[in-house]
Parts: sequence; structure tokens; C-alpha cells
Amino acid sequence: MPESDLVKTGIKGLDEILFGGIPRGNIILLAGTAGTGKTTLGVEFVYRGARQFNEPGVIVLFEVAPDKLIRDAALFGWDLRELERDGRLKMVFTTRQVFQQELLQADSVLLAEAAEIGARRIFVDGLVRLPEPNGGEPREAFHLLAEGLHRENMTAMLALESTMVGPAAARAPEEFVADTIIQLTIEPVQRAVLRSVEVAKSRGHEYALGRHSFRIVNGQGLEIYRRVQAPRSLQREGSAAFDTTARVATGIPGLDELVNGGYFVASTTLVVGISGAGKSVMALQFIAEGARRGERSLMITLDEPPGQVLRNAQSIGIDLQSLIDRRLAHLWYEPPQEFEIDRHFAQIEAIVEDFKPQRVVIDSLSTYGSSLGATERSFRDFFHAIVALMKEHQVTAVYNHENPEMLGMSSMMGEFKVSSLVDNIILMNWVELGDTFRHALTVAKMRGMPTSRTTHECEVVNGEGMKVLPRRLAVAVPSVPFAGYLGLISRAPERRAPKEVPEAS
Amino acid sequence: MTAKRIGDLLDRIECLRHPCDLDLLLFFSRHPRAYLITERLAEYVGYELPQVAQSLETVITAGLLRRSPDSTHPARLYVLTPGSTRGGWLSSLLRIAATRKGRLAVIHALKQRQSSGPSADGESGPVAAVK
Repeated sequence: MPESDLVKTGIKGLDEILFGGIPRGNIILLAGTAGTGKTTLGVEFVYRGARQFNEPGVIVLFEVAPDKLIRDAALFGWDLRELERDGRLKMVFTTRQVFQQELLQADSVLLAEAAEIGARRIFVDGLVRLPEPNGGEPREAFHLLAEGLHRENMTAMLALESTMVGPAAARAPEEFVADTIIQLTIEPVQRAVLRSVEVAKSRGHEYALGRHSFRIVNGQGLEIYRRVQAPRSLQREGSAAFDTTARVATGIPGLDELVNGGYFVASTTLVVGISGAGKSVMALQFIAEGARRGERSLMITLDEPPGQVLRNAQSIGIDLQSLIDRRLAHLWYEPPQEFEIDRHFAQIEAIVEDFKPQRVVIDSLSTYGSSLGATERSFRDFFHAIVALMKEHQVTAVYNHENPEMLGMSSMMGEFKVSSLVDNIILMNWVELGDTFRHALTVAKMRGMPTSRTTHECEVVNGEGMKVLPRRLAVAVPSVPFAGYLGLISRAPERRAPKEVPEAS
Repeated sequence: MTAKRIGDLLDRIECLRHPCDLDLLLFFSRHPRAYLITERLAEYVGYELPQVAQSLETVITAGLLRRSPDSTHPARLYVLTPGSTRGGWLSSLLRIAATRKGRLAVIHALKQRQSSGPSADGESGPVAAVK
């Protein structure tokens, strides 16, 4: 369908879900229980039409007094009075009975009022199940109403009050007559609530199926976030890095040698280990290395607020604030309580598109798992979407994942079964030797590259950061190198007999 | 808000006589474009139908309200016309009457005028009709 035949709602995120807009002349039914946001959506539809698309509109109200609507709209920054003064909006207060009879008249006063300002949009707030004037079916009554609106070639949005939710609401007779049905819901999630919008039907065009979350934001209006699972562009789904020569340096002395000179561009690396194993330190060094090469990095932190991350960076000699000031790094913190994953993902998309990082660190993936629930598909769908996003933008991404096992690992990701989606996996372990826990690093997976899977010792030095130690330590160091042990990751390492210690490799 | 200020505004607007005149205008200030049958309008403002009809004539004649022509439609479209000559004074009066205390003060002033003015028609108890 040509874009000119589509009516853009102008509502943030909604036109994307509608693949450009709604076919002109469609009768749109907004269904939902009280408080789901029908009035706000309908008023914004008319407001944006008049304001952004030069399409005057009419708002018909049965219960809400226009002065209250004007007051409430002002909270979103919509000046309805100004539109009225400019002849781009009329708000008519009437009764449902008058309205219904009116649209059956050939010389409708109401529609004449609409025509006077050249109205192209109409929003009718607070319809209830329409009684048939002669005792017929409600579906017939709604059909007559739709015909009356269609005659005027206006795109009409009708908010239908419903006390029903779910399948019962879907059987409402009006829904068979309407061209487009937008279902709004509000549902409890844990102890919070989640608003969602679903295009249940829309004649004449394609649209994104499923329930997308939304917010009602002061000073803005509705913000709709496409559900994270919804397919994006074909380009995104097919993106990958095929340059086998370029490498992205890790910033950890000694690690690049273990990963064949660095990660592939646009690859996905998972760093797995218990809290304190050095994952965040590695992440900060990855960012600092990028900055040293003039590459921008984005750090998404869920567990630690920015001040704490800056302090941690300072402790290993990285002036992260300076990198942020020079736009070489962007630190984005979102606390994980009451996550709205669609919105969260939309925000990441926006930052990636705006800041254009070449490196991204997410600290940590396990926090998403705790918020979204590992057993549900949400976590895997989110991870799949974010991996595709990074690959589309050719971003080399590192995801930290907290593995709860203190000594050794019986599984890399525990119940979060996404390791098949990642290109590289680095395991960070504590190894207890004598009376000391020592850092161990194993490159467990390098997709498209050979890897030795040898466990190496590493250390974190105050003011310097982490480095991977060479397998054969200097003679002066009294501790026994890893090569002097068997079964380091098995939770029960054994010391080799001195004669069994292999030569350094 | 003083009784004198209210009196001044009523003098300038001239046409308001009955509390129903005021309450109709208050209703239309909240619903500046209303498409209603008169019976429903009477229910909204809380007066008897004949009084509402009379008050409508008063404010329409004064140019404060426009009404769609009589037709086959049972409902009429009412549009408040604050841009009329008396619009500025009317807005000031309606701002005062937007609170309960202010409304009662304006109604009190109207009743005083009804009982003392030369145009008093002997209607002594409009309070009973005011909700």
C-alpha cells in the first residue's frame, strides 16, 4: 500500500508496529478496560494529526468534560485550546444516544461541524456496547455507526469501554465490523504493572503481531516499544562479521595471545564467572583499550550505579570519566527492578544508533536472567535480539555472566541456556591452592578460531588491572605454576609430581 | 473577590438575571461545544425545563451562546462564544463562580437584584431550584 494511503498516528512507536500507519478511512476500535490508556491514545491520534500532519480533527466526548481533557492533555504538552483557536480541532460534548442517532441522519449536524474545519480524523471517547434502536443486534448498530463515519471519509478511532478482558472481549460484536482493532491492556507483573498494546486486526495492510509494551509519559504522551521478539530488518537478522583478518584487542595483557590476537569484529563474547572473579575489571580494560585505539564503547551496567563503576575503573588506573567526556565511552545504568524489557531494548537500540559504539559491554547478563526469569523464553528472546542488534551494527560485544559456583563449574550458563548463541566463551574461576584463591582463566570456546582451552592464571593488580600470567612463571616467584597441577577446574586439583611437569608451551 | 466586584461584572454583562443563567454558562464553559437535547441539558444543570429554556433564550439573545438552528434533530449544538462583546467580563465572572464559594456569592448577588430591581418578577425562591 502506498504510504500516502496510510494515516500516520504520529504516536511514538505505534506507526512502526503498524508498518507505517493505518489505511485511510479505517474504523479503528480501541478496546480495553478502564485505565488502560484509550483516551490518551485517541486524543494523541487527533492531536498529532492536526499538529504534525495538517489533518484537522474532532473529539467527541460523552463523559469527560472538555475542560478536563484540555487540562489532562496539557500534562503531555498538547495545547488543545490552541488547536481549537486555530480551527484545527473541535471538541464536542454529547450523549451516546444523540451521537448514535446523529450519525444515521443524512444531514448530521455533528458531521457538518467536522466538515467545517475539514476534519480528517475523529476520536469518539467512551462508546459502550451500542443498543440497536429497533431492538436488533449490537453488531448491526455498530455497523450503522461505521457507515455514517465512513460516509465522511474520516479515519475514525472509537474507544470502546469494556469490562471484559481476554477471549471474552475478543468476541465483542463491534470487533467484527471495525477495520482495525487495537487492544490495550494493563496487567500485574510481580507487584508492578505492565501496559501493553496489541493490534488484533487491521484490514488492508500488514502490521507487527503480538503484544508490545508501552508507557504513558508526562510531557510526551504514549511511547510504544515494539516487543523484543518481533523481527526487525532482514539486514539485522542476516548480519555477521565475515572479516577473518580484523581482530578486536581485549585490553588484557596476555589474553590476546590466547584468543588468536583478539575477538572477531561483531563477535559475541561471554565472560562467565563467580562474583569477584574479575569480569567487570576485564570489561573496563576492554573499554579502555578501545579508547586507546580511538574506538567508542558503550557499557550497560545493571548491577552497579555509575559512580561505583567510575570508582572501580579509577582503582585499576582507568579514567573512565575522561573517556565519557571525550565521547569515547558511554555509561548507561538501568536498575533491574521493574524491568520493562521491550522499553529497555528500545533504549539500547536508540543508544547504539545514536552513539555508534564499536564495543559494547553488558554487565551483567545474569541480572537480565533474574529479572526476566530463566525458564521463560523472554530471556533467550531478549538475548537473541540484542546479539542480532550488535551484529547489525558491527559491534563487538562482551557479556558478563555470573556463575554462582564458587569453585569449578558444572555448567557454563546454568539454567540460562544461551551459550550456543555466543561466539566466544571465557571462563573465570577461583582456584584454591594452599590457603589462597587464585584467578584462573580458560578460553572455552572461540567460534571460527582454534583454541587450546588451557587454563591460565591471571592476577588483578591495584592501579593496573588484570593480566594473564605466562604459564611458566619466573623462577623467582615461589608459587607453583598451574602447569604443576592436574584438574584445576574439577574442584579437586592435584599437584603433579615434579618430574611430570611438562615443558612450557 | 468582593461583592462590589461581582456587582460590577453583573452590571457590565447586564443580561444575567437568574441563577440558572449563571449555571448554564458555567456548564458551557466546561463544555464549550455541546450537542444535547434540552431535557438532558436541564438534567445536567439541575433546573426545571421551562427555566432552562428561558435562560437559554437569555444567554443566546445576549450573544454569549450560539445554538444550531431548529431542525428535525432532537438535539441542538450549543457553542459558547466568549469572543462576544461581553466575553471578557463573562470570563472574569465565570472564574469567580468556578469555586463553590464564588458561585454562591454570584447567585446571592443575582437574587438580591431580582428582589430589589425594577425587573423583579416576583420570583422569590430561586434557591429551591438551585442544586
